[in-house]
Amino acid sequence: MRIGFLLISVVIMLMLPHCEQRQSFAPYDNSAERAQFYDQFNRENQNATEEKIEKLRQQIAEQSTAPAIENWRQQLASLEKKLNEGPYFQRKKADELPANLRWESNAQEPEIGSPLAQKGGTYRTFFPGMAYPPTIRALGKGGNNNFRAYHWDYIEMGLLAMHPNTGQLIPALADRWAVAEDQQSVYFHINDLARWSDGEPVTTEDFLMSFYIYLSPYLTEQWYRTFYGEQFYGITTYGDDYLCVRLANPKPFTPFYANLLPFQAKFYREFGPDFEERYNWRPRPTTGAYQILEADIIKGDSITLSRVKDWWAKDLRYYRYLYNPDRIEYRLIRELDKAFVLFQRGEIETFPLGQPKFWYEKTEIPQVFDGYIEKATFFNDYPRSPYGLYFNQADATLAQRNVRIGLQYATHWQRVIDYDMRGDANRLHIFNDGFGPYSETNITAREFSPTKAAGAFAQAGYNQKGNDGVWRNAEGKRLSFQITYPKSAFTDQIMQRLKEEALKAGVEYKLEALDSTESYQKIAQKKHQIAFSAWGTTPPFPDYYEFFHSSDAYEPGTKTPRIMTNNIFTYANRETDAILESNRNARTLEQVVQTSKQMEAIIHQEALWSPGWKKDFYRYAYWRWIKWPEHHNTRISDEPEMSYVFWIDEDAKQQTLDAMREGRTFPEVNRVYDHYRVGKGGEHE
Amino acid sequence: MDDLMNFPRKIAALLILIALGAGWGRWHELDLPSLRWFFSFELNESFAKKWPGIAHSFADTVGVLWLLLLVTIALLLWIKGKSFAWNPMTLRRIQRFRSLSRGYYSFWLLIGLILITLPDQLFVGRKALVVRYEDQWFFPALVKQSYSAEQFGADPKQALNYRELQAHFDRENDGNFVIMPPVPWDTTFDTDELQKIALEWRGDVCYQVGTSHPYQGLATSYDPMDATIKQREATFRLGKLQGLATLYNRAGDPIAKEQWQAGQLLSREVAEGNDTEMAQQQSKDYFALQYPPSPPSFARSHWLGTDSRGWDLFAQIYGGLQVVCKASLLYVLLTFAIGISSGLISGYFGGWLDLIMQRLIEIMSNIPFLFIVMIIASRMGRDQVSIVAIIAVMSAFSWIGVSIYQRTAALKERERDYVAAARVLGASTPRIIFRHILPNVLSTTITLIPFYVTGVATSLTALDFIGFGLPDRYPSWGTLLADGLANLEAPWIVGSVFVMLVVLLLLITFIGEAIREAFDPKKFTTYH
Repeated sequence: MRIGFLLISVVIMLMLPHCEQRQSFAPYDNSAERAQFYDQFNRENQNATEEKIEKLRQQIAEQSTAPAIENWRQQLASLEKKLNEGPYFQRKKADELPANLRWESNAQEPEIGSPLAQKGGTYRTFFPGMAYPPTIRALGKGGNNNFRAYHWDYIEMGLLAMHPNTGQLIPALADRWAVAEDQQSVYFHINDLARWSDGEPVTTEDFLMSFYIYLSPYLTEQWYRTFYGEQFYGITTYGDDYLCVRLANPKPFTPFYANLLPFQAKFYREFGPDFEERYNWRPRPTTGAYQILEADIIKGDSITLSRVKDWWAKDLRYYRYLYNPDRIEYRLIRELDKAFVLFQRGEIETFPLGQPKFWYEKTEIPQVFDGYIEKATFFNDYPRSPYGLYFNQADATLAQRNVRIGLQYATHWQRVIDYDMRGDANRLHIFNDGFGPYSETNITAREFSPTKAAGAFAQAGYNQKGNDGVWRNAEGKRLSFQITYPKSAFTDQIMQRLKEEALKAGVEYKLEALDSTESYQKIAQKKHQIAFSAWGTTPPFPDYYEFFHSSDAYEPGTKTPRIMTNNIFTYANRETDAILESNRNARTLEQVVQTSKQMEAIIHQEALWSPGWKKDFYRYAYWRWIKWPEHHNTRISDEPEMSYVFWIDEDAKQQTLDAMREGRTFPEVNRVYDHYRVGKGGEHE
Repeated sequence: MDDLMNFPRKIAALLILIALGAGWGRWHELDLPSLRWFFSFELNESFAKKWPGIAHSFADTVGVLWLLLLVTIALLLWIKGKSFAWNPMTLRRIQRFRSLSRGYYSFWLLIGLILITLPDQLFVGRKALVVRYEDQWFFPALVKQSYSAEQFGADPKQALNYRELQAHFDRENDGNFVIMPPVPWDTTFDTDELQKIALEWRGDVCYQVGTSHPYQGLATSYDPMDATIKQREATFRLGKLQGLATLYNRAGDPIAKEQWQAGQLLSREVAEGNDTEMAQQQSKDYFALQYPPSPPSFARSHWLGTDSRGWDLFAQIYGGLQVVCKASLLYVLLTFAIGISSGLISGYFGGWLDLIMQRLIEIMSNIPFLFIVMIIASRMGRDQVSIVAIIAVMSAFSWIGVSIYQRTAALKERERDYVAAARVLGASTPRIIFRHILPNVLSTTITLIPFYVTGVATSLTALDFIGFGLPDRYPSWGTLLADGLANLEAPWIVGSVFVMLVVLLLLITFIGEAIREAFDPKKFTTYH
């Protein structure tokens, strides 16, 4: 009976994806709505600015001695400037372009990739996160999934790009750009060659569409609305080819901040209230090298990217040696172990060997000994994800600084690094590491020390040890904390190690392993005590504001934690806020350096979290027909797919397959590429 | 003597002894093996937050209730046992059971297994049995109090580790000593230090000491002056250096890369400014680092090796067996108490009550209980789940089987003459149900017990295997099984758990078959 039920439900579940009908949507055209939106937004934005100015003037007049007075004056000046510049959306003619612009088009950087690269072949791999993506939209509900980077972030072209080796800005959709005197406005000229994959030229209209989407109420993510509403003062188009992006603050490295991705006006004409369903599986035209064709979306099984035929940038400097395989096939494989078996059989081209088990044991196989599969360790220079334990100060015990300091002394990351990671990582000392000059180097994270932990706990009143070996205070409250984290076999092992060691220092960690979505939800709701987490980080500048500013800690004027923000520390401090604002609105690189260092000092002194580990390399194995440039990958990358410099050598593939059939072998290959190693040993400064 | 101490009175005496021992141990803050269990039922944390008043003394209250239960049962047995005589039919059943040698020996083997679990932390545990330090005796394993490293003259900066203390005393040889349990590892959260396994050169080929296969894999050499400073990390193929080797300076930074080919140095790239350090003598003594899972080793007292976390396997299997025993005890008590009463009542009264009970049973039997446990476990948060909670949920769904048997039997029995006679004599309904009908329907129920025990053992293992069972402070066979399957290259993990599970399930099944055979009503049927 029960088995019958199960069987039926399994059969139904198996059939579901196949009998799913193509949904049909009523025709929709947002052209009129859009035109109206731009006008309306201009009006509302203008009014809001006027109100803000009024309020600021009043504030300055009333509290002329407040410490933040300088900040307010600056803000006022900036807002007045905004009002002078006119509305948010402006359309002008090409001949209205300011005359004295100094155009740049940086053609001096070295080329990327190898001139030896061959085009062609299919690169077979698997979905990261071992799950099928819920959608191929990049925005909207479920858009920011594990697969997004591989069809969106790494593929789509912005106006500019960052050179993956030198970190300098290089042309992308824009072939030249100019920064205005005020360091706040950037002018771009769209390359005349630039085409969408459907043959349409890229025009300024596509960038207006970007803002329409970002600012639209139809988008689930509030973040875009806030970011583009507050950090930008507007966009002006000059005909079809020129545009000017106006930022809210003068910035160092201005063009980087003004960089935009286009959304094709034609394709997103149907963007409306039902955007999320309508565009769920609709393949979009792209300006990048790879597109998803409708026939290549096999639901529940695979998605394949195809090289755009006659890609407009295929002969351009910086792009001609990249994106070499004709097709990149992502398959759904539910377990890493299974993926490894397929890799061993040659059905997958490369395999990440981040976990020690894979690097040290699972690759001790004949295919490696015989040189069919090669192994590589690549030292990169990429911001390090801040792995560690995040203390939530909404919890009364964790709000005590001495308890947090004690917990830092009671958390034995070094043991995790030496034992569970086999020494293949380093202790992380600061929050934003790996940002070159912006990362503090003079702070050392507190080491594991039961005696020092005991000292800190005693200061917080926890000075009696129970029979269970856990510190408690006079009221009998024990130092017991729950760690919330996304479940995986390896993370379980690490957390259990911390738990075992923490008990030696008189702290009980309770482990709450949740499904990754559930864990994310719980942490975003600020319902955790301690979270084990890490963030994706992007060069070139560290971000502190979103993690530590009080506006993201509590709902204004209350003690209710503000949900769905990155401040999972629920940390709020007026003085820190000033530093954070100055960090975010920094006008010079020195100011970024200075305020970043100040922030790291505060994070360390206040023991806001327990920094875990960092890795300054990544490792993987690949079949020997996958070829790489001289220094293997690019400096600023954190996985092989990120820069697409590799290529498939069909001759080598045939040679390898023949050799395997005939029993011939090649020398074993296990290389270390430390050309870009930061600091010690490497050639990189 | 025989009259005074008959079978039920012996049981009563045993129960009294257990209760006294447990109570005495609690009173004196002792940690008596297995007896401490009665006082270990802490209130769930979320409840403790709701009722802080009772949370404080909850475990003690539950313990006292346990003892009261034991004492009550003992007193009843003692009083009722006065006129106890074996029912001739029971004697014949027991005799029949004895004659079924497979089941009978399995029974004693199982009793043996259960007895082995009773010494508890005296057999498996990280706390020393005896410490003699400066003419004083300590018994850390038997007392609740935890000692600090300072008390025994060890490094006060470190947490006290009796295994290290033992080695330390042995080295010093001052008349101090430590006696550890035979398996000196805790059942959970007790990881061994990293082991270095020495390699030896035989000619120009390197072997692991004591083996005859040339060494294959990664090896590290250390500074001859200071064994904590690594000098070179290299790969061996067929006992010879091969491929990439990395050299380190005293600070642990890489200073050079070498390429080797079949034991010959092909090239060496030294980072600038490190030539002097390179010139220093390089050690040729290599060690293989033994990361977990490590194979069985008597030297380290890992009788069955360790799992991938580095926890001792024997200790975990032993602890897992304890969990299974305790879970079975709770489960059988709870399930059968609910099942028997509900079945008898529903069968005896019939009518509306029976109708409603049957519908309830139909609904409940269609709910897949494993899913319910998974849902509850994920709602509560895995760390909040306790063995009592899991057993309660499992019992809430499995009394049905017992109940159905009991109801059928009661339906049949209530029509018998002896029931009518009891009713005519004026016996109360509870007396008729539990005093007259129950003994006559018990035989079917007793035969069910072994199968329920296998059921609870497999369910617990299965739940842990898929990650929804008991939290990690409980040793678990299911977790080990999952770990073993993920690390098939370490066959000792999956091997030992598998053997243990099969042995236990086989024993219980054999016993179950023998009991069913012995209690077969087709062989002996009489009525009271």
